[in-house]
Amino acid sequence: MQISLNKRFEYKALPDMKTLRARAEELCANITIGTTLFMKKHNVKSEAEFKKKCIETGYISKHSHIGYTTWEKTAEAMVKIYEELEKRGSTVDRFGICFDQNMGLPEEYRKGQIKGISLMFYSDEEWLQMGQIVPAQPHMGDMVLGTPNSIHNTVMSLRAGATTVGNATHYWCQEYPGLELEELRTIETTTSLMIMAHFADQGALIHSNVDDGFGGQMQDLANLAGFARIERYYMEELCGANMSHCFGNMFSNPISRIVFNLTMSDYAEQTHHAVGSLIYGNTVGYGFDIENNMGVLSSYAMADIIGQTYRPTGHSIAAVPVTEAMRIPNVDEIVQAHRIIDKMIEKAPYYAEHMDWEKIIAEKEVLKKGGELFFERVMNGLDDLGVNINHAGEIMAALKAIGPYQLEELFGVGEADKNALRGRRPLRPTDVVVDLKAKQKEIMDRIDDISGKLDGVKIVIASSDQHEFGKDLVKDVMLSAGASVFDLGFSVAPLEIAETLIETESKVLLISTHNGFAYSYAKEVIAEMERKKLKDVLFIMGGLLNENPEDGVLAVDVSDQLFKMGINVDNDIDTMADTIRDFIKFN
Amino acid sequence: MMRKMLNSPLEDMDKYILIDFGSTFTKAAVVSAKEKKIVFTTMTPSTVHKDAKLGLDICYSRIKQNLGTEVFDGARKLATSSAAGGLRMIVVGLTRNLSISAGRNAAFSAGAKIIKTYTGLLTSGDIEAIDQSKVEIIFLCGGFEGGNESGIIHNAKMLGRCRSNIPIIYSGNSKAIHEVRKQLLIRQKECALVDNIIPEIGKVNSGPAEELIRQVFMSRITDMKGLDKVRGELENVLMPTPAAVLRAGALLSRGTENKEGLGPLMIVDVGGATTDVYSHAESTLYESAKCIGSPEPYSKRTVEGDLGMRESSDHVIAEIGYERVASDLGITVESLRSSIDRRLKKRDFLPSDDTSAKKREALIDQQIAKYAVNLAARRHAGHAEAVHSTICKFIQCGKNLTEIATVIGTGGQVVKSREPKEILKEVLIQERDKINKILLPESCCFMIDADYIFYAAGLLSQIDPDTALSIMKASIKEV
Repeated sequence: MQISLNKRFEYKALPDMKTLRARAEELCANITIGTTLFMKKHNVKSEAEFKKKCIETGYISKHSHIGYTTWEKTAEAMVKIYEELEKRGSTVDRFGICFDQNMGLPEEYRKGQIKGISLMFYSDEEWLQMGQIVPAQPHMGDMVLGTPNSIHNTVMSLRAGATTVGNATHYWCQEYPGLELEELRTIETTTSLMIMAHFADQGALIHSNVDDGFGGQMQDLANLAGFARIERYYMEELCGANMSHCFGNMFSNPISRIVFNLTMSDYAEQTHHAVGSLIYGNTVGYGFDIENNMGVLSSYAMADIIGQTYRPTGHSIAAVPVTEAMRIPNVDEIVQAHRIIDKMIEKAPYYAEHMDWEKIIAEKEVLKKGGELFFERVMNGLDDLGVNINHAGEIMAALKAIGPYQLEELFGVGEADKNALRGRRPLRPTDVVVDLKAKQKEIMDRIDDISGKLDGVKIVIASSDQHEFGKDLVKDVMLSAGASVFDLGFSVAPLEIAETLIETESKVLLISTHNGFAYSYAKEVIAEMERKKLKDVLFIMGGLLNENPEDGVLAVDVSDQLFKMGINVDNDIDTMADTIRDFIKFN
Repeated sequence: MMRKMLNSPLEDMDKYILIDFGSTFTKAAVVSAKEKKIVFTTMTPSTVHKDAKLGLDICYSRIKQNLGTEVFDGARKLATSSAAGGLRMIVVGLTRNLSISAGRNAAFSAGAKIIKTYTGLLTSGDIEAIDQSKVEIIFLCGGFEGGNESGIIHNAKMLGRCRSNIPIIYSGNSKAIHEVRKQLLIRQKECALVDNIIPEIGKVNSGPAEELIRQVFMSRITDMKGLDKVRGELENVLMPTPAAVLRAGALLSRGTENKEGLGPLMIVDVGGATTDVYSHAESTLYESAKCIGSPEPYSKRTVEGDLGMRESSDHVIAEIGYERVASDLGITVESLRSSIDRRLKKRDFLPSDDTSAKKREALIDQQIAKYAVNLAARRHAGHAEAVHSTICKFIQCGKNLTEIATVIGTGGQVVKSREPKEILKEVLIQERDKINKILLPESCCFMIDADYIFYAAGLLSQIDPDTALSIMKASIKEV
């Protein structure tokens, strides 16, 4: 078996587990878990203790993300939301604190990094106030665990009384341009897992959202379940912590949400019986159409609630405002989402009793068994590679060096099929794959007579950032039109594009972009093409054609600037094949 | 010249006799598979230019004398040959980081020596230059499968205009294969076709091209005088010496199922005409650079045809600058020129030949070796370039060698030097490299291949890897 390791550092040189644990224990000697207003209100020592009570009583808790640029604004919003909901006979049980990505960096590395639009803490006082504003428990779901600043942020979270700490999956995909801190990140993360293990008996719970990790890149849900099992292995069995899996952003099928949570729950039962943190909303289903978003909210939330009525796991239901994809939601919009969910909690039991649970359990068994097989295969593979499978840090670094694509290709549980993506037919495709196929079909049905329109046309396609959904969609349409498509993948450098245009002799370049740097990226690509004397290339850019201004909060549209640079910005998949055909015809 | 007797003759039949027909020496090593060690080595001045069998007979006679006829008769006999300095190749491709990079790596891995690369569309001037070069093979690559055709066909047409009939290996886009073949054959060019070396984005398929280059290499060896006679006395002339050394290094780095290897390492071989650098390591990313180009192999070889101790000594000094070298050595430029002239005229020149100035000549040799290693290591290593980009701060081209932990010297000049470590230390990153972001290691353990045994280990690596690893570990000495 040929594995290509994209090693970021020599993980065999990591300090051993004993050394890391000694460091964690040393730090733990100076940590006392704080008491939040929420703990006082519910007379508990941790959120996990509260969740255990929820499981016993059948109470379904609710969650909201919150995080404005300053603590002052954030605290003010927390008060308003809490008070308004209380006034209307509802409540919010927990607030997920949205940190800016720079919070994941130790202070000395923050200089030169792009400042995001989320919350930064600048003092210990701000940390300690988190749980003292309203009786809603702070949840640390962003930029704490899994970052190069894991230890500091974990310690401060616990001191503030925030006992659910994550997001462990940031380890896999959260990157900092221009900085290579992978070794530090691995040591910090592993040590933090051990800090959480020290306080496991006091309710410390690690939170890990699979969708923020390899979830978006895996195509087989069974492999993703298996990957979650691997995380549980090194966090619980090796480090001794308690952990909860979160998911939801990319799960659009309500039934697959229930099935996946049951699978995660079974895995939890095999180890430490840890309670759940939250199930996140299907945010990739949100767009600029508020009514559509309302439908998405109703669909995912109802499924999550029904799942909790059947088997309570303690997971809170995420009240994602319908404006989430358009702007930073305001207080009223957050309250609105809660009120919708309140009604669903009331009505869900009517649905639950008529569900075909036998069928759902059978599906869960498929996923569970598939996941276990993936887990076994990967762990054996790591062992064969000489990775110490009793060292959490080595496991993490090696898995990252292998990457999700190879993990699926080499260890995936789907049946081998040379023509399938990554050489295997998924045992159960992820909703992203299913949605992509459905969207492709919808487009293909809509576009008339596309077959053969681009016969003999060579096209280079790439994504400027980590988002591949849009690119894959366009690629499929181009293939259906008969084009030869050369796919460079994601986060592609301009030099790669220029050299690939030469090696393929393509006259068409399609770039998908979604990260708010469309203008800067296009400028780089054009400069590189000029350096390579590439002329008469049709450059089409699609996706989110915007750019984050240096000091602004919201990205601005740059379509006009791109058009002036000679780039096609029609952003219309329906007419793209015609545009290309006409260009080729006249050039 | 007999070197040493390492063990008493054994009566069992577990021996391998491993021969290297080098351009300077014919070498032989007898290895015991049971004991997993070398039991006898010998070498004699090379006779490959007259009659290869003469040198082989001398080695065989010494083996029989020391180990007995019975052991000799029962031993397997395998050989490598460096074919008088390696196959001289030109690589033609379309882009520096894709087809050219993959083509260079394949040619070097197969044991060839690249004298020039041409990127993009060939011009009449290029063809003129190719005609004047003493190239033995042209390696034409370019185009992903289903990709570029016109550029490839243009280059094939241009190569067809070469006056000299240099064999051409085509390893590019198969869609253009018929036209390429036609263009070359109508001009009576000898051409061979293999699978595309860059079949698709992110993939390199160098195996078929490497195998073909190796075959051409070996067919050249068959032209070696006396080989017909030698053939009958060997099981096979198996592989080019550089390819054997590459395999040996990979084994030493990775180890076997039963024995650990040394991890990431480099081997430096400074010869009379060339300096070979081998690296065996995963090419990791420099900081958070974006890696560009065809994937770098775990085992990589480069040959610098202008860096060597004798035939190429003038190039080495010229690259550094005669004035600077003379100043480093504390001698005049004229004196340095005269010393270099000697080396150019007399390829087997030894410092001891000049009894009045042997110390100075030895110092000059030491300095040439240091410069050759310095330059060759920097050409072998990848580098990072700062870019103003939204997706990364650097792009990385080539192989990152910062994780290399061991550097091993082989070849006469390094092994026989009084201060081999000083030569090998030239691999390490220096201040100006840090500015240019050359991806070389900060510190390493330095060793020499005292018994010059890598060729033998490479031959054995596929038959008996444990023994091959053992003899290498026993041969290398820390300096």
